[in-house]
Amino acid sequence: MSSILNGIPYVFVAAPLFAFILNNAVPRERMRSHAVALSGGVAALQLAAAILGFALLAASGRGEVRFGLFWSVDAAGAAYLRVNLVSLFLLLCVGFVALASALTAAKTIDDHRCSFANLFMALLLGMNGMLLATDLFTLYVFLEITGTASFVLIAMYKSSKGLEGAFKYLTMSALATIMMLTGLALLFMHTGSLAFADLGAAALSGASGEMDILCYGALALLISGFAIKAGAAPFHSWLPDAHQSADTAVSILLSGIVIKIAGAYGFIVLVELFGDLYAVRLSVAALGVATIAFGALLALVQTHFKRIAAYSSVSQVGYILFGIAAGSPLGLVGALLHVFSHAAFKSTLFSGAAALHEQLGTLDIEQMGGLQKNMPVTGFASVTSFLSAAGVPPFAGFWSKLLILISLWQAGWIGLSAAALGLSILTGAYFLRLQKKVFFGPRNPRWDDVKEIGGTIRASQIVLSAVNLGAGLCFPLVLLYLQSIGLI
Amino acid sequence: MIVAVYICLGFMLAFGVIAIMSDGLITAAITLAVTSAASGVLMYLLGAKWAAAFEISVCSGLVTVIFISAVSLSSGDKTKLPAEYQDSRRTKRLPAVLIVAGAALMCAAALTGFSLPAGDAAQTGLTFGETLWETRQADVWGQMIALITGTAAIVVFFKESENR
Repeated sequence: MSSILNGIPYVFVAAPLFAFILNNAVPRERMRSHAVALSGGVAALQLAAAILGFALLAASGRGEVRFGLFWSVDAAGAAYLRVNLVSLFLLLCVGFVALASALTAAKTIDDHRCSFANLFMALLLGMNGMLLATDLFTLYVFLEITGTASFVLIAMYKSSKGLEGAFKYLTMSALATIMMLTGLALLFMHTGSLAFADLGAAALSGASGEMDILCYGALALLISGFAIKAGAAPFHSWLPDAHQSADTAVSILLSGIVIKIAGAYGFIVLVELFGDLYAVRLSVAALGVATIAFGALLALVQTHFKRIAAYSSVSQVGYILFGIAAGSPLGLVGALLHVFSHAAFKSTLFSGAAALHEQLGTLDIEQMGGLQKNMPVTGFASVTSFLSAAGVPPFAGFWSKLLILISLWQAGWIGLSAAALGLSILTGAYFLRLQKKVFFGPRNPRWDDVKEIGGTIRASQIVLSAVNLGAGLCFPLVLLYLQSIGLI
Repeated sequence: MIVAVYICLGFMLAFGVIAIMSDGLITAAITLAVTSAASGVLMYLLGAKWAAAFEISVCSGLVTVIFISAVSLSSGDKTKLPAEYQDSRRTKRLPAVLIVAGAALMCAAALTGFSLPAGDAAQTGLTFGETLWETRQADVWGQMIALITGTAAIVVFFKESENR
């Protein structure tokens, strides 16, 4: 068992790298029809490896598995990569969303299939690398890979909207890079190391016990940098344009997982390292409340299906930030479970967007209406997604939001807990509006002959709907399991 | 040393501004290389000698060669910014913004008692190879993956010309 557990982390690096090499070694004409399937296979393998790794690691009682690619991790001072329960859970979420994206891409990506697969694998490597890193600079390097691959995926078709969305993303990413590099440099000046093991509030305050103002500056810059990557308010301006203009398979990746790994995971690391500083947790909580409110209010006034979904992602990231800001194991579990439930319901929603775009040729909700009868599977999947997002029991979103609210309450932030609860009404409002405009109400005669989508998108919608409901029904068991292994 | 540091910062600022404001890609690539070289000298002055060597050889040297080769291999119309982007108003306030930002940073440094690190602060006693291979190998792999991501990006933007 131990050797299997020690071997599993290599899958997260080797599988996408192998697929990338194979994708380019085989002639493009031959690879074209298999490239997306190969990517889907890698995603499925990652999903399976992460589930197996999580179960084995939890059963073994070891805190983490350390590994190096071609170097020994046993030498004194040697760098190492590692997986722990948190990173394995997030690697599972990456695999899950990547699989949903590959299923959608099989239908929506016509041109550049090999390039899509290349960039898809680079994106997986970037996100996996972030989750395996044990040093803030290594995390930054893989964050840049994630950002570069995302930028090119958005601009892949070189349409004017795609280029505009990608340019906004690139500009904001450059700003995040400047902030994060400056923050890392200031931290390095004070501690002489950026390894997680050497960092912490005590390392920053040093022997004097008082923290230099530049350390606060460094943390503020890092928080702002990760906030840009997470699409948190008021740094969210790039997100709706980027998500709207990208292919839907790419939107699933961006909204379903990239903003969480590139942004929210950064906050998890920061709070893990510097959570003893109240100012850090308070800043994350303040970002959370602004993000939930801005995202939900802006989603209420949009008329493009993908823009509503994108602003909804902004809003949901706020809940994840709340869980992280609580700074307790329960808050972290709530945040991680909300990463998963959001990944599931947002992938469902974007699969619905892909179905609508393929069948109608538009995503303007003002032109839709009464499509439930024409597209019952898409309509049902969209309803499960809405109910989960709104936190209605027994869907997955209910449990994760409940844990976040309890953790805020336990942390003494009763006002924030009440705000989170109150603002979830807005989530219900914009999703109800979306459902009404698209699937219910009078049908636009223009869509009388529209049929339900088939193929992989339909399969994806069915599986994702089952996950939204099934995960919710199984959540109490998951919580009991987490309690039994001492995580909460 | 402080004078040399300010000279390097001045070079970085001036050539960085030219790189951003230039309409020609070749000019931008060359001025970016000078900016990078100045930052390499700055790193050397501050004691990060290996990083300085890496910055000057790779970022200032190799990357510039790749930039200029890519621009030269592209068709002529790609060596200049498209007309709709050649708007001098777009960047005319940039120097002023940078000067104000620089002055603000200097004031902040003076107010917080910021001082330059000692020249040997970054030296760990390890050789360049040991530093790179034993303590920063994850970053080296990351750089390689970044390189292949960049290659995939070049293929998308320059080789595949279809528009959807």
